[in-house]
Amino acid sequence: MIAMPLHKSVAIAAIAFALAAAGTLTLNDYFVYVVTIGAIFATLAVAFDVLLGFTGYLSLAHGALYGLGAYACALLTSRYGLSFWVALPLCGALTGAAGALIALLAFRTRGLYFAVLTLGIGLIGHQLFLVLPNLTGGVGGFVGIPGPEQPGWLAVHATTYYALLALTLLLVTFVCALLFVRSRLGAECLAVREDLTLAQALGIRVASARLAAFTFSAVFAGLAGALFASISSFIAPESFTVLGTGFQLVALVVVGGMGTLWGPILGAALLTALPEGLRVAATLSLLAYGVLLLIFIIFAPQGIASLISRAARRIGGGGREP
Amino acid sequence: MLELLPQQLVNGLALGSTYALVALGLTLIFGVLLIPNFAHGEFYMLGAFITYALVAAGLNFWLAMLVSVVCIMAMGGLVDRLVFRPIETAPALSLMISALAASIILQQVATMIWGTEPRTIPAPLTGVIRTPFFAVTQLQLVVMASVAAAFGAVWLVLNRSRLGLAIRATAQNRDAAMLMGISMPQVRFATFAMGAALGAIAGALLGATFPIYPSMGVNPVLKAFVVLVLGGIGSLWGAIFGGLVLGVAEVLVAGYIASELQDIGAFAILVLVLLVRPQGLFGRAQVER
Amino acid sequence: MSLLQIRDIEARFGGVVALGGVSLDVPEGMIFGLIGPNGAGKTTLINMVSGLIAPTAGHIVFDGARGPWPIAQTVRRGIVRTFQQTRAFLGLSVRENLRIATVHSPDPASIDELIEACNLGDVLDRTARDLPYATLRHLGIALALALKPRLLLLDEPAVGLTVGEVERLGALVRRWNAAGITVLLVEHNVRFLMEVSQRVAVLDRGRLLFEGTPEQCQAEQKVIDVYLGRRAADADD
Repeated sequence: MIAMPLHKSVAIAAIAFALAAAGTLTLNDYFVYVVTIGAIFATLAVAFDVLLGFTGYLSLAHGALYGLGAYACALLTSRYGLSFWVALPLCGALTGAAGALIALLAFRTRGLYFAVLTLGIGLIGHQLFLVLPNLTGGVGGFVGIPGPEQPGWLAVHATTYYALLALTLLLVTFVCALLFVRSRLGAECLAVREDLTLAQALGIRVASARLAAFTFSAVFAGLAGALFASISSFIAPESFTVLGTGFQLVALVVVGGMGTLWGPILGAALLTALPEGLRVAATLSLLAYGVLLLIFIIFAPQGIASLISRAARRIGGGGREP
Repeated sequence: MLELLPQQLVNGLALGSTYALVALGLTLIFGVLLIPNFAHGEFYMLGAFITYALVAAGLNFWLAMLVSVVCIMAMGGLVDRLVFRPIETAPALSLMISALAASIILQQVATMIWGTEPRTIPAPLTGVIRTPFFAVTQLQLVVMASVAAAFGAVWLVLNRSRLGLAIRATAQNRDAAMLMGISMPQVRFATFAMGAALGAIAGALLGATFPIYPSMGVNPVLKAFVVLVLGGIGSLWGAIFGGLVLGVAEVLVAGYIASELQDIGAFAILVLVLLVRPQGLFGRAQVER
Repeated sequence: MSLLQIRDIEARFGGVVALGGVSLDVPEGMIFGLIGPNGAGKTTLINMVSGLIAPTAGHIVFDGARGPWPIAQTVRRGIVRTFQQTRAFLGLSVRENLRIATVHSPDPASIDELIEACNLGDVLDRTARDLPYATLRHLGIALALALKPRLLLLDEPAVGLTVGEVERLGALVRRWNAAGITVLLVEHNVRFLMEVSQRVAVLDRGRLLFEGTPEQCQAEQKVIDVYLGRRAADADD
């Protein structure tokens, strides 16, 4: 694996963003909505991969963190009348803090226990959304969340505007994640993933590295949740379940390619766009997620990303890898 | 309030018995093969649904339960063969992810067949036995008796049979067991079949008391993990003890604090125990794989 | 004064005494060899000096400061170890391995120096998992050297290497030592250890049996009895 220079990766991401943004201007409303949801899930997946793919920890609490961001945004904008643009960073900070707290607790354990503990926290989170109707609207959901304010100079339809916002959040998340994994902390996270004992023996500050990874992923999950709430105008606990959202995230990242940043975007694009595009029932799409996840974890655990780069290398005559 | 305590304890023990039964299967599979089988909840769910389908087709409940258990045993072996055997040597993270995938697949298949509407299995026993201090339904007694019987059967297989010896040897040291000529496919199949059977029994019995639906296995399996943490992974006694403690604790939380907090209470116990003892309450420190 | 002083270090696991009060002095600039049969407590001693396990009793003095310390602090003070089953970040390339080892240190060795010191020039872009055994061993040691240790603890670096590879390893250890790194070498391969070390200690069942030069050691009857007599044959194969 040879890492591309940073400016080149950012440039490619920006071009892809521009193409996607231009594309949304030509689509009909339904597909613009699909792009919006796909971009939000891609944002989640990129953030999640910093923890799963680059640090090696399976968290099942991220569905709840995503939900926390969404409910926080709903409360701040509709009940306290804050502007979406003020609420958004607050939501990120809140989920970041919650994520850091969860991480401090959960990293006392490792391996299976870590997954089980975060699963427990994810379920508690989902239950809290249900049993605190004064804050969340309970089972019925939270209705009437104001959408993000649209600047006057941007004369596009609201749905297109939302898609552009989602794509922008994805771009920002991607670049931040890129900076993170290329940083010293990112290198230390890789060390934690590969061999915790060796990392400790080399004096790497294991605790701060993985805390940073968890917090990073929580902040961006919260931002994605906030945007989701604001553009959906309605949210309900069923959007933030462990086995719905939490599991989907795992599937997106593994199918796309753990430990790469563009893999999860690819996974999110395929797995959210395909069922929406083909308009299959939710049950069938979740079943397909399960089957794909199983096939990939068994036969291609590095995901589509590694299949593509391997194919590219073969086509390139194998000469690109020195 | 206090005069309700004996009744609460009985209800707690009955609930805890089913947790213990689910946990027993989970701890067996995890203790022997180090597989975190999240799909165990789906063995439980399908055990209930197959019983339901057979009863609906006119079969006697107990016969239906027996057929269902046999089906789920075969399915346990199949799940192992398709989901876990292919990645035997992969890191623990992959095992967890494939277990999650298996769990989702089975849930969605059940949803396609039966839909998400909750259903009920007509209870085979409806009698209630009353004492001055508490009442207990005949079904609750059957549940508790089944836990005792299942525990006894598992204990006998493990401690009094050649197969059980092979299973215990594998749990101690898989490589050494293989060098001694123990057949790993056989041990794996037996372990999965036994574990799945325990899940199916629990599912069928609970299905006669509570509504059944495709995602009904999620909470019990998580609670079974709580039980494992309480009782120590791989310990049969720990599974029984942890299950009963959890059942009683939940009923007391629901009865004396607030019923909406029953599940949150159970998960809070999980979080607390893991924080105090990251390797489980009675668990030995796990050797990293 | 010695760079590392080990004082009455004791290790009990339950009822088992792995080390029963061992004291040793490793002078600065030396290659110090430690041998002993299986279960003598060699690796336990390394684990305690490196801070991986806390001793039940006793202490160490390193560069005038009294330890032991937790592992991160031990590394910061300049004591770095390698592992018996060589550890490297197996899923990553050699280059990434070296980057990880150097990136967090305030004053790391230069990567080029490490490549040169451990003969890794030809394999930089290979994944560590695919490296030949001996090369992987070099990488494991390079990761430790990246932290510019003052004291390098080598835990059985020659296990599983061919005669030629052992010779090359010996040359490398001497070179690092000449560059100013004190080495505490735990080894099963007696011939290798005697050739490389300037001073040798023998552990047996958790106790110090002998300490002296390699020549004295090979002549010492009680060492031959418990160890060399039995091991000499294996070491030749």
